[in-house]
This record gives sequence, C-alpha cells and structure tokens, in this order.
Amino acid sequence: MSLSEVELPYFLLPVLALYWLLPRRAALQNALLFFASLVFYATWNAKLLPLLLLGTAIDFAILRALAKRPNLPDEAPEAERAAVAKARYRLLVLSLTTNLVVLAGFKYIGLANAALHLGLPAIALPLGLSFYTMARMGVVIDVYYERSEAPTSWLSWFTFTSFFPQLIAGPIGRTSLLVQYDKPRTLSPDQALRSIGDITVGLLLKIYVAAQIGPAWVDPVFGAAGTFTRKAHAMAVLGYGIQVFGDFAGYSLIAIGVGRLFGLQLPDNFNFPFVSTSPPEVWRRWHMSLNNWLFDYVYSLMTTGRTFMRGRLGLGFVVVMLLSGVWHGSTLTYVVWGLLHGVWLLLHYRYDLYYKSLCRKDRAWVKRRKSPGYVALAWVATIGFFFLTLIPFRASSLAVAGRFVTGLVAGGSEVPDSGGGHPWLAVLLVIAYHVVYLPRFEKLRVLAGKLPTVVLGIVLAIAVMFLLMFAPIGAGTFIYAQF
Amino acid sequence: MPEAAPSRRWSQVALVLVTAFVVVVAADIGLRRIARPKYVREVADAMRDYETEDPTTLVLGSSHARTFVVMDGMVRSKTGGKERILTVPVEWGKFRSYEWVLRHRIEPLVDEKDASGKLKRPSLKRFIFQTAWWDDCWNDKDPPPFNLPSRAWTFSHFANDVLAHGINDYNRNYVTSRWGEMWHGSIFVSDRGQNRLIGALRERIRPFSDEQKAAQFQTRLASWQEIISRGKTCRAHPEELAAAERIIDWAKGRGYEVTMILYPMMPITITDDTRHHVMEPFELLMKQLADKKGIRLVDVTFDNGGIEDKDFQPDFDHLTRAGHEKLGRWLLEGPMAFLFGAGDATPNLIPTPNPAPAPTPTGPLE
Repeated sequence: MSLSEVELPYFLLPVLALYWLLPRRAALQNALLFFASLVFYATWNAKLLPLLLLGTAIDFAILRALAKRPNLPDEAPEAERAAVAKARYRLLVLSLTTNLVVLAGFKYIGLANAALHLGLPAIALPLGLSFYTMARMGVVIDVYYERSEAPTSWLSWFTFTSFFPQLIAGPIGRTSLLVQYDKPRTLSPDQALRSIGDITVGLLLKIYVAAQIGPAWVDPVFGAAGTFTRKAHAMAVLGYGIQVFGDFAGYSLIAIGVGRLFGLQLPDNFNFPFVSTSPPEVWRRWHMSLNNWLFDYVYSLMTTGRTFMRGRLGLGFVVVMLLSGVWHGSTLTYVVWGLLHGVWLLLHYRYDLYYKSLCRKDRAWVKRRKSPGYVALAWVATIGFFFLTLIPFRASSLAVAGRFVTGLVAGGSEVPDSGGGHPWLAVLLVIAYHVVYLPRFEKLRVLAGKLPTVVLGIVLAIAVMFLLMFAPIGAGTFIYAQF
Repeated sequence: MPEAAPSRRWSQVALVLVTAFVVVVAADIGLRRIARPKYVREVADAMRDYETEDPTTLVLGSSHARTFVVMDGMVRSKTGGKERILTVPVEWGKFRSYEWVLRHRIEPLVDEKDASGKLKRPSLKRFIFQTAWWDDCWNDKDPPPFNLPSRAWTFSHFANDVLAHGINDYNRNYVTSRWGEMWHGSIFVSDRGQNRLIGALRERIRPFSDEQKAAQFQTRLASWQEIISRGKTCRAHPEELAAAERIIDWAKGRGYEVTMILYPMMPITITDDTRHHVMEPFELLMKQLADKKGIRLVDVTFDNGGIEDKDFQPDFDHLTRAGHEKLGRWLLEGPMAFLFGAGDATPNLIPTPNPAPAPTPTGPLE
C-alpha cells in the first residue's frame, strides 16, 4: 500500500475513525496504530514482517539493558565505571552490528552476488528497511550517550518504529519524537486543516508534478543519452531535479499530514532546497531527516571521536557523503554522486575558512558576501552543481552518465516528443508552492489563513478537481521507495 | 511579524470539507453536460446477467464482442425469447485472459447445480469465440495483462493475490477499477486516463481549427497504425495459441456447437503492410486452428457487409451503436443466421408482433 495510491482512503479513513473513537489513552491509540501499521506493511510483503519485528524487539531489549546500566558518576570507583562503560559499549556494538548486518546484507547482497558469481537468487530489498533501521539506531545511539531516556513501553517503541506514514520512506524518526507516543494524543481543528492542506499539496507535488515532468523531459533523454539536443539534455537534468523534489517532498508532506491527523508529529524532510546558496545549506534543506541523521550520528561522532578522523572536518564531509551515496544504492553511479558532493562540501569548507580569514582582516568582505550579486552567484553555483550531479544519480551506469554529459556539451540532433503532458504547468506549480510556503512570504500565508472558511473549501475543491482531471493514473509510484 | 490567523473551530473544518464536496459534485454535474461519463459492459456485468439468465448461446471475446449484445436483442425479438445470447466482453483481451475468465468466472456458473443436482442453466448449446489479431499477440517482456485485475477479478481473487504478493502495480488495478466503479456516475472519476473532458472543455473554450483537427487525426491514426504494425513482431505467441486451443477444447468437450468469429477492423487503420503481415497471417492461423478443431469459422475481417470508417468510434477500434447494429444485422442475415435456431435459415429481422421482451443488458455498448 502506498500513501499516494488509490487504496489509501480504504485503509486510512476507517483507521482514522476508529482511532479517534477510541478512549483517549496512549496504550489504546498505540495498539491500534501498531496493528494498522503491521497491516499496512503486510500489504507490501507479509513475509518480511518478522524481520521488522525481530529487529525492533532486539533494539528494545538493548535499550532496556542500557537503561538498567547507566554510566556511573565520576566519584564511583574507576574499575566499576570502566566495567559499566564496557558493558554499555558492547550493547551499542551489538545493536549497530545487528542493524547494519541486516541493512548491508539486503542492500548489497545483489552486488556481491553479481561480483562474486555466488549464484544466489535475487533478493528484493525489504521496503522501508533503511528508514526504520536508521530510526532505531538513532535512538540506541542517543540512549547510549545518555542524550535521552530509553523508552519504557514496548508498545510505544514498536509503534514509533513502525508508524505507517513514515514506515516505507521516512521521514526518519528521531528520538525526540518518541515521547509523544507515551501520551494520549489530541487533534485540534487547526492541525486537522493543516493536515488536509499538507496532504493536498503533497498529492499535487507527488502525483502531478513528478508524473508530468518525468515522461516529458527526463525519461526519453536519459533513455538515449547523447542523441538529443543540448537543450533537451539541460531540460532533462533540470526536470529530474524538479521531478525528484516533487516526488519526495510531496510524499513527505503526505506522510507528515497523515501523521498529524493521528496527532503525531513527524520530522520535516524538505525546506525549500532550491533557494540554497551554499552546499551545506542544500543538505540542511534536502532530505533533511536523512542528512540530519548522517551528520548527527556519523559526522559528529566521527570527527569528535578518538580515531584518525578526529578534527578532520573537511574529510568528514567526503566520508559522510560517500556513505550517503552508498546508502542510495550499490552501483558506482551513486558512489560517484556521493564523492562529488563530498568533495564539493570539502572545497566549500576550505573556501569558507579562507573567506572568513578575509573577513577578519577587512569587514568589507562581510558586506560583499551579503550583496545581491554575491548571493545570486552563490545560488547559481550551488543549484547548478546540485543539478549537474543528478546526472550520475539518475543514469543507469557511468557510461550512460558520460554519454549524457557529452550530449549536454556537444548536443545531438533528436528532439524529444513531449507527448500530451504539461511539464511547464508542473514547474509553475513548484514555483507557486515556494511562493505560498516560503517563510519570506509569511504575510501572504497569514492572509490566506484568514480567508473565509467557504473560500478555503473552494480552494480545496479546485485542487481535488485538478488532480482528478490532470493527474495520470498510476502516478503514485514512488522513486524513493527503492532506497 | 504579521498577525497570526485566528484558530478555527471543528464546525469550520466541517464547513471546508462540505464546501469542497459540494463544489466538486456541482462541477461534476455541470461538466457532465459537456462530456458524459463513459461506461461500457464488462465481465462483471455479464456475470451479473448470467446469474439470472439461462442463455442458449455464450459469447466470449474482447470488447468487440459487445456487438453480440445488440444481436441478442434481435435474436430474442425474432425467436420470441427462445434463443438468448449472453456476451462476456473482456476488454483488452488476449487468449490467456479469455481462458482465465472462462475458468474462473464463467465455468462455475455454467456448472452450477440446483438442490436436485440438475444444472441451474441447462439451455446452453452454442459457444462463440470472438477474436482479432490482437489476441495472440504477446511479447515475453510485456507486463502481465492488467485487464484481469481491473475487469475480471472478484475481491477474493484480489485478496489471494495480495496475500501471495503484497499490493503491487498489477493487483492495484483491481482497487483502481473498483474505485472508478464506485464513482462511475462522476465524469471526473470515469474520465481519468481518457481526457475526453479536457478535450470537450478545450473545444468549448478555444476550439481547434479544422487544420489542427485534421493534423491531430492523422497523428492519432499513425499511432494506431503503428500499434497494429507491432503485430508483426508479437503474433502467434505459443502460450496464447495454446490458451485458444484449450478454450475451444473446453467448449467442444461439453458438446457445444463452437463458432469462431474474426472481427472487422476500421478500414482506414489497415495499411497494405499490416494487411499482408498481420491480418492475413492471423486469418490463416485461425483457419488452421478451426480446421484442426473442426469448428465453424466466420471470418468477417474484411468481408463484413460494408463496415466503414464512419461506423467506428473516434478510438479507431470500437464500433458505434449504429455500427454494432449494422454489423449485427448483417451477421444475422448471413453467416450467423444459425443463431436463430435450427430451421430458420432465412431470417426476417423485422420484429414479430408481441415479441418476448429482451432483458436490458447491464452496461451500454460504447
């Protein structure tokens, strides 16, 4: 089952009705959500439910064991402190090992199979494996470092890790959101309206924007890279960036909106990445739950730990982005994509250090950095590079990526048939989304919030009719589900 | 900071939803004047009819088989209801799809017995197998036939498939189609994927010029001709042909009089190339199959009483209501006069006085 497919209302509406008809007790609400989430997951593949449940149970046991063995205070005997610290460390390693072995096993068995000719049958990646595994590991790491309390209720824990709106493709749950599962949930009229708005906008982005641009601009050109004109190649790269944004930001908005309808907050996943003016800003705005996770649990620990990487902040970027590339897939194209972004962040880090040294010498450099010309140049460089690196991300192989780059530079003669789609309307919708939701247009949004209720209803009706008339059938297929 | 919007009440949330619903419904009703929701007879309609009917002739075929719905009315009228045709049209059919429908939907009804152990519907004596070049055309890399979950599955088929494979793009077709059926009176829902509404709106707001329309027609025609020319690379798939044989064997094994009918195509869509390399090879193959199985073959691919381009809908594939009537009348006056029953070789299609009323078949033709 997918959040953006036609089957969702059949599932969501009864669950939602039952959820709010139940007495407002956390245990009852969690029990229903947990059961509904299992059903939701089972509609993908019931055989993989034990994998989800077993891993969640192991981590719960480890979390409870960590809670029973808190670090001893400084005044405790050194030997006792060391013994407890060692025990806790072993628990952490046990959790990370079990999670990473399962994750890596499923993600890269295909690669190992092909490279080493193992002759194993093809094994599909269990849906959502990366997302729920990372959510669990994050909590274990936080509890290990005593940044937060271990969950006490197994039902809250299982509900948190399996909550269906985020189960398949995130946003990746964070420890700070775990406590909301211990309290009875409520829903205010404003939250309900906001959810309806998020779901509607999410559907527009997910099943209209993404579906219009892919077949018109992207798929034909990547399918025969190098044969089309320069303009077609440029439109394909531009289109793919917008397609992925529409696909994933839209899906995330739907997930967040559905989560809020159950009185539960999910982390934000996209914060207008296309307005970024520096590489780090892109990654603070794009797929935020993944990148926050990587920088909080890998980069920070790596660069502040006791290993070779301690203090190597620039190199840390390369390692983390390589990891991000490998997380996205086991082919070389993703490795190249990650490496490009890692080097990009490293170069920007060095440049930033240099620029700051100039600023310290002469405050005029600070002013220059805020000038419209500098900001515009930074935006072009940032977004331009981001889009160009989507070539290896989208290409089926490095050879295809190479042909694409050649086509982008030299150009071919073919002109893609845009078919009957409306890709430019999709681009306009993305722009409109930015205009309505960007913080700098807060006044506009507040004005919209003051609109008479009937007008809001008419706006909702127009969005629904637009989707019914223009969203293609089968457009709910989700690009990011594969990761 | 701008002043925040005031908090809303639950009654206002309800008002937003009710307003949206009312606006969508009102727009739908208004737009139905511009483009009517399209609804055609499907397998489920045929099965519903079969539950209450005892046909003498069973027709299995693709969407083209809907011509026999018209012929049913003619036959009932002429024979006073003694002869009754029940048509099972499998949209986007292939031989394997027909076989699935035969085994899983039709056979249980054919074999259904009453409390005394006798067949509930004992009158069936003829089986007509309607086909065209498309039905044996298959490439091994083609996706599975989505028409089955869409149009022929029941909920138990869907549930069993989900239990076995989870929800996927294939079985999701069942849900999508049921969703569409649930709202089939709505032009918004029924028109999804068809774009007739957008075309009709465009025609009202800024009509295409005659030149543009002619160019669009040529583009669509070329695209349809291209589809037919693919028949050169996919025809005579062994698994499809094996399914056709099994269907005929099933009918013959039960003692039915079996007829295979090859259906006409819109003349303008057939090029010399596709006539020689798609249509004629298919005709030959079906003739060989009919000879091998000892069944009657009615080949009206080209010899069909003058079916013309204007008898077809704009989709280049299906007959209009008038086209169905024209073809049906011609068939009953000629090659399929046997449908009137033995001894009535010279049918007169002028309705007899006080004919037995033909039940209204579920689902229209176009």
